[in-house]
Amino acid sequence: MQEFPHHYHATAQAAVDSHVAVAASNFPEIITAPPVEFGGPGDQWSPEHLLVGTVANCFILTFRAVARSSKLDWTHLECSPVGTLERVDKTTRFTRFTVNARLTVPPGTDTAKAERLLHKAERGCLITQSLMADTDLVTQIIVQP
Amino acid sequence: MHQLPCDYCVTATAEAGSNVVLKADQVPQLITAACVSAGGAGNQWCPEMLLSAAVMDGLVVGFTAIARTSEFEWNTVSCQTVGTLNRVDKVNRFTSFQINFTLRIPAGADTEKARRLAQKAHEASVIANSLHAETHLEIEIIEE
Repeated sequence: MQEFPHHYHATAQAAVDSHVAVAASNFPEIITAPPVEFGGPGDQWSPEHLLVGTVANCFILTFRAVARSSKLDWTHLECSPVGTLERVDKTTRFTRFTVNARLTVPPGTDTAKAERLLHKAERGCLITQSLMADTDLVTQIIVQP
Repeated sequence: MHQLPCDYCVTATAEAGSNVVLKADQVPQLITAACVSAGGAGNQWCPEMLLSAAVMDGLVVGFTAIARTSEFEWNTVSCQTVGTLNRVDKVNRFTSFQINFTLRIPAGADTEKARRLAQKAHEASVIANSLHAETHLEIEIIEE
């Protein structure tokens, strides 16, 4: 891995009557708008949803790396974080993330080890480590028949 | 505005060797993957880039709302951000975001008000306010 620090660049563009287009590198552009709760249309990604999605994405990718290094086989992982936005000390911010993780593993898998690695992934996720909010991990492990 | 607190949920799914697919209510799905530095192919959004984008997007989306409320006329906004990931106390986390915010306004518009509204959007950004990292904002106002 490259030496720290790492730098990540992104850009955004908007006109008065348009949504906000977010871009980076050669990635597909993301069209964004305020969420429904702040008067948006509800059919585009919002900054709030991008943040929650990043938590989910990072959790899965961290788990993948942790599972690989620990030689744990798995078949499917679904992660559905719920981020709670609140007003605290005159500032509106995310105060809590409940990260719901449902992992499917092959028959005969050591489920205690799988559970440990899910928690290790949660602790190692650089996005949740960057957030001020508290994070709770709720796990479900399904063993394939 | 909606009553607080409110919850936001996104679902991510992946198979052992696949990209990670993000879905939320009625929005288009978003395909994501690991960054190049973490072994990804480099052609999909990764968590590090998405967080940097979310920080900047929070500012731009917030500015459009504040400008509308303040009945302030503007033409276009463009914004660039650089998020810095570092290792601090044995933990990898973002430590700073540099945001360059360029606002183009009609000739004769109040440039000081434009600057104030951009600064207000920055201070009110729910994404930046949710992070440990410091956020530095550079504002450029261009009259057209």
